Amino acid sequence: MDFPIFQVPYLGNGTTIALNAILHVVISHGVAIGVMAMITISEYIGLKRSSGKWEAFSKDLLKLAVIIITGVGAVTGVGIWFITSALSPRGIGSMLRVFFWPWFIEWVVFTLEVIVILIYYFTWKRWTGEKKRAHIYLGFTYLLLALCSAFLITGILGFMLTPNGWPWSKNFWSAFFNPTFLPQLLLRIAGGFGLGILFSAGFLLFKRREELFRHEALRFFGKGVLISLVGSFIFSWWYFKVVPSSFKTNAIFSVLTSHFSQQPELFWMANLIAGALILLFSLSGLRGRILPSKVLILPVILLSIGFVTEYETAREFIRGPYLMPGYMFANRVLLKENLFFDKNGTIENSYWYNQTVTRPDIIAQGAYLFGQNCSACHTIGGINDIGDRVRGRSEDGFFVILKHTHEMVPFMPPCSGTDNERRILASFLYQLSAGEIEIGAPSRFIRLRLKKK
Amino acid sequence: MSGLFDLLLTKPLSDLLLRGLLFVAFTLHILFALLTLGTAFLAFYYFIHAWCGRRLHEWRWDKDILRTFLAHKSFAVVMLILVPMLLTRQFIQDRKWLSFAEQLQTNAANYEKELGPYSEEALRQYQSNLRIACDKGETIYSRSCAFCHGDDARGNGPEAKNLQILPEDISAVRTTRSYFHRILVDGISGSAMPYFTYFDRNKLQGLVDHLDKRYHMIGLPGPISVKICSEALEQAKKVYTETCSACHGTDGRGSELSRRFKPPPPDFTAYSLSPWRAFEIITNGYPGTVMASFLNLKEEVRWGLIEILNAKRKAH
Repeated sequence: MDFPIFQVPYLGNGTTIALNAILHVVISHGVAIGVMAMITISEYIGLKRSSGKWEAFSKDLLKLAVIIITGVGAVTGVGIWFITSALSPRGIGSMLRVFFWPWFIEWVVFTLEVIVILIYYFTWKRWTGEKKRAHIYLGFTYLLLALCSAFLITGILGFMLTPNGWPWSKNFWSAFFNPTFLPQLLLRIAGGFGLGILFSAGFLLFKRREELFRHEALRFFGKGVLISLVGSFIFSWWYFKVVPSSFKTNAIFSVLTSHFSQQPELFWMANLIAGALILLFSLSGLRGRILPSKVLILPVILLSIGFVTEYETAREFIRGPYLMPGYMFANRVLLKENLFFDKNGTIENSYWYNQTVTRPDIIAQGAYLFGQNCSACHTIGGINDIGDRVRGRSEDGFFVILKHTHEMVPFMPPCSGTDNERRILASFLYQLSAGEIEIGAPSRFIRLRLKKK
Repeated sequence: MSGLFDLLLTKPLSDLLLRGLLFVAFTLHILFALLTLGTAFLAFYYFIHAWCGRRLHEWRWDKDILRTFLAHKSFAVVMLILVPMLLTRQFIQDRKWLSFAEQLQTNAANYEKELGPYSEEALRQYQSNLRIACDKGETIYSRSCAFCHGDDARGNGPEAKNLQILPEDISAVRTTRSYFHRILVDGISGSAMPYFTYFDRNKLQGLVDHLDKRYHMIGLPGPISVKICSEALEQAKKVYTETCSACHGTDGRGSELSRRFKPPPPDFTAYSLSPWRAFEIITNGYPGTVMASFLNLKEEVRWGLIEILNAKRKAH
């Protein structure tokens, strides 16, 4: 098509985006919303109960939070833009066309967030006594801005699964306030609070020694974990209730992958055990038990991050064949373009390919067709290796299956191109599975020769 | 300025607004780059400072330079660099970039026009796909299997003509639940039959249930309706030991040699076909595989071979 195709070796393009995104979600939800909420509330409790311990606790935690939010949080946020611009320019470009203003507003909101959090941090010592109340308001102002960010981004993320009437009407408001918007927003807030409370509890358990304060704060956090756990459960149930069943049916597979798909009970068992452990932690917190809480906190934090990963994976995966449902397939071919390519050819209409390739080499064509149709999800020799996926099939089998990918696999986009192009791709895949060709090893980027002028 | 209120950017931005926005954006970017560079420079400076220790500490000039550098000079330098850079950028942009952008826009509009006729059909397909949830055996069969095996599972789907090894007639298969599940999980090496682990076990079991309900494929093959005299049966036994067992093994599980075949023969202790279908394969062979035609054998002997296979299946 009209952009160069990059294929990240080993990890693959999807996983690369996912790794960055999940780290960003854990920080933006867990720290920027959750921990910051706990900090502001702790400061408020400190004022209410005139307790220096609560005040000192929230101040020490703030330093850590500011560094993480403005460092890792901001970098991974920009990272998403950078990575998607390189790996999926057409996808992110189309998303920008629909959601230009929400993203623009989000940029302003994020800048304000950083300014407010820095003021909040640097005025801690100066705004005391009379001004303490104003300082706490500043904290809540930050929280409000962070929730605005969540509001804006959730509309866009929800659209990518349930665009509602947008494919037909192109109506912005129905795209933004789509069916999964509200449950997802509430789920993200509940989950973010839960993660934040767990992070704060970890800080409390390992960085505070005063017995009385530890008990008091732990009981408070235990209550918080319980509420967020129940909230997350209810909202995720609501969320999956709204998701159309043609997507939802792939949720369990998205988590288990083909390694474990034949033991579906693993899915329920793992989730149940993880949920039970988090519940156990919140109960031990409620009772103010230090030792069991200390033992549980690290596994529970890891499990919660696991829950975040699980949810994001499922949400991204089940939208399956689409990047923008009703408009664009996951391999960045437009729905209408797919029909056009089937009739008129993919290669012939690929601006970038025709600019770079010198002669119609059949392997280069096959490699390009792979890059165009498959490389959004599959790698050559890495995670979700196409070699593993096709091993043992016959060449005519490839040809037939390539015509039916979207029917055969409910979450796979169609392979676009004429019958002849499908034959080229089939022969490329067959040779690849037989180990007869190697592409740009060891980097496994698709190597195409530059046209000489 | 009306462009500012065009929230969805349906109209192109006015030239003035576009240039203004670009100017502001580039200014911010370059400022940001300079700040980053400055920070890196400072970090490097402090690093050297710490590294050289006291010796450098004695040089009083560094602090003075640093202080003035940060205060006034940096601003002057920024302005000196920034303004010409931006003006140059703007100048080049007017001459090169804007015309290029116009060209791109025309290309995009033309392409959009070409795609136009496909739009309605694409949306129609999208809508009908949204209604399909692949969670029932019946849906899974019709979406994932029928294009080769056919709607009535007789192995005559629309794509069968494109395959050298014809898809199996599922309606004639008589096998066990676990053997069938294994085929679905592993595929059949050397043929077009892929693996289906992208459906979880419950869904695959649903598919097996659906096929069993329609074609009774879980179970033993039915009795042979033809009468076979003991002489023919003896001859069939001889043929099996001398010919068939080379590939299928004396026990029917497949020989050492045939395991490397693509595709390998099935395990007759767990997998059979209805008698008439087995007869058809022995008579005509299985196209695309090593299994040859045994038309030269007497009809009764061929039936006798089926009797032998069924006995092997029943023994397990």
